[in-house]
Amino acid sequence: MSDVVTASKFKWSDLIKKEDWWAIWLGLIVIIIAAISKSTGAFKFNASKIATWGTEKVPSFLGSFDIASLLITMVVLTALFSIGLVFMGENVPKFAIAFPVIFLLATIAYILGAQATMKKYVEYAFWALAVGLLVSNTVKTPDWLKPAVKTEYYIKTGLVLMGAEVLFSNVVKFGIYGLGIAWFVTPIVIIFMWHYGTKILKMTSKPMVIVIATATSVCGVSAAIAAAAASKAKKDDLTFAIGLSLIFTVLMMVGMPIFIKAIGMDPMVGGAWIGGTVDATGAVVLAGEALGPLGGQVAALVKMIQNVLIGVIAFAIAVFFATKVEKDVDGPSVGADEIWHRFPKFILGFIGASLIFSFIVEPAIGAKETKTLLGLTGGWKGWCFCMAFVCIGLESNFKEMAELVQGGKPLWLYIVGQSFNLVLTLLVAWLLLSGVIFPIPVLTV
Amino acid sequence: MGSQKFLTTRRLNILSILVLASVLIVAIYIMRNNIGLIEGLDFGPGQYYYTDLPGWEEIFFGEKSITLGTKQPFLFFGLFFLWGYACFKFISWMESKK
Repeated sequence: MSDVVTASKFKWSDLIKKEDWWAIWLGLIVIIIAAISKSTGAFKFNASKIATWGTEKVPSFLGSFDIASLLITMVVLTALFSIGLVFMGENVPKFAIAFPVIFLLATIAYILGAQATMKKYVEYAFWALAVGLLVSNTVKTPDWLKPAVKTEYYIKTGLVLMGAEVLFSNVVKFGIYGLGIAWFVTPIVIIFMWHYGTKILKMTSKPMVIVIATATSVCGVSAAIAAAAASKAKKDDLTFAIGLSLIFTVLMMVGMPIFIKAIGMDPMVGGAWIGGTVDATGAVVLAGEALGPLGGQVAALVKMIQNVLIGVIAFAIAVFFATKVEKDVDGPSVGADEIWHRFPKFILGFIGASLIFSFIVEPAIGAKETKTLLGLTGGWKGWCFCMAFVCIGLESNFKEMAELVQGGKPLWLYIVGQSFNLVLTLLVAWLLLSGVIFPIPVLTV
Repeated sequence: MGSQKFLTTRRLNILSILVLASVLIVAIYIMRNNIGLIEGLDFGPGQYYYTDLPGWEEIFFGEKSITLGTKQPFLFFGLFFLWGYACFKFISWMESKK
């Protein structure tokens, strides 16, 4: 199994033989089936969901899942991924035998993440990594399980499904204010962190730098996944970025509203500051709400715009790595043909799904219906990511990860980058929302 | 010189461990005590993407749009792509410099 996330040289037969293309086809198949299910109502196409437990309503985890629904989800996923593997020439029977165990581990991660407190703070990504790491560092990942340890396959398929949720039309929701706060700052922070990580800290793994930079400046875990796949990052790079993002998000979610209220900052500026800097979207909405309804609304709008930017940024990262980073410094400039060869093709599916949903589906069926449809595809996306994180854990060991720590450089990259992000976002939020340049927006909440 | 570098690296390692341990302890304390959560809102940092949030339609949509600048879509999206392109060219230039 490759340690790297992505694809190689292109031939027309790649369309049915390569993983990147199959991620696109599978994403498309799921979207089409979901659309048929929704429009005809002839059958249900919901992925199994684990209910929150540890509450009065569902006290034990035993009441949090439905076995029949889980089995159906597993069968559907086995069938879908097997179709691609048949064309890719892989051993499908071995995959089919091992896959239920990966699914079981993902289910355990989902159940752990659905515990009332855990669900609100760390959810499935953390637990999926933990479950995988626990297996690989204790009993070791058995050889018979490896045919189903297909991190890239699951991640890429999940990302194509996530593309549908990247509704580009939402970029306009907060007018020039949102564009300024979310889009002016984000690339500057990425460039700053890239320079700091590669030139000052001299980190050896450039994909790790871009993954941490994207997670910090865009929206944490989801941005890290997209950036990792686009930059062909190693799995450990993604693990570090997610770990750092998860820990610091909890702190920022609690600390920022306290600080903003303590210094008497305007809730609109404070909300925009939170929206532009706190990584996870859920944390942003909560931290914003702690400032009041206006702060909450501004924080949510700014963050949603950043969420939508993932598509553009993932595309730019893929082109940047194909044309600049992977290129020999003293070699000739890279032609369009070579760029195409190096370009991770599934990104086309990710962007394509975003464009189709933004400019065809949403205008055609309306925002409400689009969201119902996304509710169906989102469940499958979640399982793809959860299984991918389990597989990352299964392929990682603490010894190798310790070598990547590089004297704490990833940590300092995150801290310095996030500090820069905090200062710049506050400055831009103040400039745009305090009436200095544009009139102060009137937002009804 | 070599031993000085070793000491600096060692100090940096210790500092990194201390910072990370402190952050972890505070994060666990926050989670242990359910700090930062709001009653009635059934989500938190565990919901990473905006569509992960329960009821995200109500949170992000409705009559809450601000239209300043959006009535000139060419200008709006022109700025969007121009800024993205400029930043892309800049980071590419940085990377091509030895």
